[in-house]
Amino acid sequence: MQDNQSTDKKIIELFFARSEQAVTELADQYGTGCRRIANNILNNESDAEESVNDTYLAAWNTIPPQKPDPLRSYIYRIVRNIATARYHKNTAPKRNSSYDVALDELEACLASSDTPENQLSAKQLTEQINRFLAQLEKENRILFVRRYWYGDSVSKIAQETGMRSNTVSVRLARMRSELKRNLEKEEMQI
Amino acid sequence: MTREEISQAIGEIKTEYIEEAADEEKSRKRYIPRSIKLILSAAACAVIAVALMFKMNGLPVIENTEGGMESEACGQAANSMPPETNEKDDQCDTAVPQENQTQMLRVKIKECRENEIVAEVLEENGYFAQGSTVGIMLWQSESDKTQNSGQAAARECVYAQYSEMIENASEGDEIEIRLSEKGKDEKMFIIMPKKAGS
Repeated sequence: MQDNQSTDKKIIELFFARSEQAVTELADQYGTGCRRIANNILNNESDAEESVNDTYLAAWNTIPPQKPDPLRSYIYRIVRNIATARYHKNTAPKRNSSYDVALDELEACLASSDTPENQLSAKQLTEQINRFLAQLEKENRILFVRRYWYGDSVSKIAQETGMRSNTVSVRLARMRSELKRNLEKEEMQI
Repeated sequence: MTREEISQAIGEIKTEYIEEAADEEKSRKRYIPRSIKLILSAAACAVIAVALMFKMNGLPVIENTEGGMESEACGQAANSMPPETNEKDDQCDTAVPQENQTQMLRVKIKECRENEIVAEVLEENGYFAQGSTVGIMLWQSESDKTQNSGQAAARECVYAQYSEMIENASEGDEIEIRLSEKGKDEKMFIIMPKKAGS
């Protein structure tokens, strides 16, 4: 963590000095993570690479004035936003990435009401999800975030956590059910 | 709610949760499964056990090859004594091969001098490295023994059993010598690793 913080500080200083080395350092530090997120969502190497490059450009254009802390989440958010925008624009009809499956799972869980007045806004849903995540055990929360935020596949999560794929799937299903119950309990029918 | 909105809503969760998952993943990459740890531990234990077994059984140790501390002490002690006394022979006892050490020494005769046979070691044993040069001396009488011992004691020495093969050897011959305990044979060789320049 200490290392991350000092590296982030150095990168941000380079951005503020308008040094192109900032982008190189950023790519060294977070390039792998960015590519993973973009590829999870887009399932296409070249689209993912473009999204990552767009991310570096966005970072260049926003730092300064922004001084993000932590830098990692800031960059990951940018790449996720860029990749999902590209996904919805270009590749949604294909539905072939692990992120598609993740969204399908969530869509089934957050089944929408037909009446517009009962529908949550994205912001309200975010608040609900944040509250839900806060009450989860750390291990389960990480599973949920890796699956639905980072778009990691169940098999990859299973491999890296030492769990069986079935165990990961069952835990995620229980969490989705719990989330749905929470939303219903608060009469926030989606 | 559309898929895009759901995606957006999930995308806006708290930074701490995103960081938490990223930190966890980073630590997982350094994680070594318990089964691998067990295998590595078992392998390390096996290596230590074998090393200890070798040590306890007194199997050949390479440090002794060119005469270790013991042989050096032998030489130093002999140097400090007059050459006429036989005590220096006792000082060489420490250089006699132990029971578990390799007793045989295979050499190739390189040169026959008046008081010394120069030979090359063909196979490494407990005292001599393969390819090293040794000087072999023999005595037939007590005076020979004293004289040669004095010379030998200035260097490092071990004893060997007498063999006619050595006495009759000529250059290029390959012979085998049995290293010996002092006193077993009245006619013994003194074998010295020949040092560079000596």
